[in-house]
Amino acid sequence: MPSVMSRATDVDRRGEPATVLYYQEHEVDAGRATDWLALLAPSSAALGWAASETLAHPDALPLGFQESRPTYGSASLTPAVEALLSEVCARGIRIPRPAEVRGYLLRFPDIVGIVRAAAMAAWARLGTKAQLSLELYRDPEIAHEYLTLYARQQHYDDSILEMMDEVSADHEEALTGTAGWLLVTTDFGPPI
Amino acid sequence: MGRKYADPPIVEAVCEFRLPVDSDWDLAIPGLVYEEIRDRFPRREQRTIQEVEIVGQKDGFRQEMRANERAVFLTEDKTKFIQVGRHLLAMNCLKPYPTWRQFEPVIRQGFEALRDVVKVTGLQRIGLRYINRVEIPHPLVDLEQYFSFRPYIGPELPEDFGNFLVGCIFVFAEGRDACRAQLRDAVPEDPDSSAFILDLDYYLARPQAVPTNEALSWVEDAHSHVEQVFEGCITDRLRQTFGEA
Repeated sequence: MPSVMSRATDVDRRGEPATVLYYQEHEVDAGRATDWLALLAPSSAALGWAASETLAHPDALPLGFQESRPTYGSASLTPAVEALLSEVCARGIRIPRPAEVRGYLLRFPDIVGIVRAAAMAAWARLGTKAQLSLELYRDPEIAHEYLTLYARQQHYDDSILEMMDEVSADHEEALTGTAGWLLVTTDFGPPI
Repeated sequence: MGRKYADPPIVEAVCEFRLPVDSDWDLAIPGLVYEEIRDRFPRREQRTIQEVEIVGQKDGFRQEMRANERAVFLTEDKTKFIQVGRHLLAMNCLKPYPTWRQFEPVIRQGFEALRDVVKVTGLQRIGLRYINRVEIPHPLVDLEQYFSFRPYIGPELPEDFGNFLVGCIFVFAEGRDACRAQLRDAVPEDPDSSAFILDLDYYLARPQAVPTNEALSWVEDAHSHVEQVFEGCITDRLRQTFGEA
């Protein structure tokens, strides 16, 4: 799922729909953006959309109200990638080699939102049962690489596979047509 | 930026031009721009920016989602690219940042290509943004040693803090321009290091206050101001880590 910017529209004093709410700086903490969207419309959080782009309107308040103005998606890539890495680490998901993950996401920014959604879903379902690790997998046979979110347990049970299937099912459709790729899997190794 | 560094911390530089939303635009424009720049930006990609709009109505909220397509034209090594979206032209440069003298011609080429194919009657926004990533090889860093722009933690507060974000908008040209500076922590490459993002975004704060034919000189001035803010945000100790060019 590509990066997202959000704009909230409300009803003005005359009862006419008007854009009055802007959320800026999604990249600072994408999780907060989702929380904010959830406050406005609870179902939006369930969408798993990553609010990872700056609206970047020069006058937009960090989180506030203003009169109707156009909203802008960010033209820069780095803030969304850095926000994703920070949020993933804040959840306790390991990133053993951040430079590799960073580099991949900058080359394939169309999956930043998908990675975030998948990581948060995996953390919600597996976070207490397994160690999660976001890594770049390089196929030694062919020149191919993709991001992999590994779930590792000391003692494996069938439920982890089912839960990984559920997480994968949620994001695989979103990967259709993207240049980058993410796999949620396990290597059946012990936590590192 | 400003001084010449052997290992500058810039991880991304972006210059963007946004046209007024009511200005002429059609789907052929990205292709026409590409014809103008393909010698330097031969690779093509299409990226989708998703927007979520929450519409408040008398009977509750409604979500609307839509996708905006952007054409992206890249150099062979993909470290520089030009984005063309609806009413948007942006020139990006990823690490390794060359020098301003090499990035500025890219901006000029992109902007002139746009002007060749569409009548630019005004500019809603111009922005020049530099995102710097600083990594310091210590797990605990006294910010005061490295940054002149940093959060102030009062004596009544705990000395140890985890994540942080500090920001400020500096005003230039009597309010016509502004520069948003933000410093935050980031994920370090090495677990024994500390990393920070210093994000400087200089932009035209008053829409259409700069005539189209003065846009490129505005960008040149913007670069000088960003340099000034950058140098003002850091200390000599941090400068030493970048090395002399």
